[in-house]
Amino acid sequence: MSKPEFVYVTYIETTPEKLWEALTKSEFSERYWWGTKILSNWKVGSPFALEWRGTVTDTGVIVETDPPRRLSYTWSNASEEFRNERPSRVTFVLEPYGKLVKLTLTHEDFEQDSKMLQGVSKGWPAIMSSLKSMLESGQALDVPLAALKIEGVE
Amino acid sequence: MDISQFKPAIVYTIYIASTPEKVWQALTAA
Repeated sequence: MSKPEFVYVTYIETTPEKLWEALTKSEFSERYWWGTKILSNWKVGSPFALEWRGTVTDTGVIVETDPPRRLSYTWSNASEEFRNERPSRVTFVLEPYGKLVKLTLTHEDFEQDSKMLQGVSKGWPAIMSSLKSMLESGQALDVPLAALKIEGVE
Repeated sequence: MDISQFKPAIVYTIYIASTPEKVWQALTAA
């Protein structure tokens, strides 16, 4: 079995329940994810979608759900640029330690030399940092897209 | 040595609601 291509670990002063809500409800994701809605009923086998300004940008299927500990879904970008790439897989693992939750995000199963991997590797740190700030201070970050330094994105 | 194409195994990035000056101080002050 190959290793996950992308792993991001962050420690957040919150509860697993609050973090789970932030990961699964649009009212929160819109605040920390540049206005992106997360759409699903979060049942295994159900569709998953990201929607930005009324357009579905990414789709997938719920693979695993064990609230508030573990969530996994497949991920395909809807744009022309990534059409030929197979779905990758995102997994969140939430582990409480006292007043903290250790959140481990893995994003794996990309094509060889995947362009998607390059993009998500720059996107997730901004999204996860904003999520952490929102849960700890009540204020999400407004990370300028230019800071990500993704080719073609300003 | 040309490192422009070098890909490290891990790069960890974090965005912080702060100023460069405050982060610098946190990294360097006892």
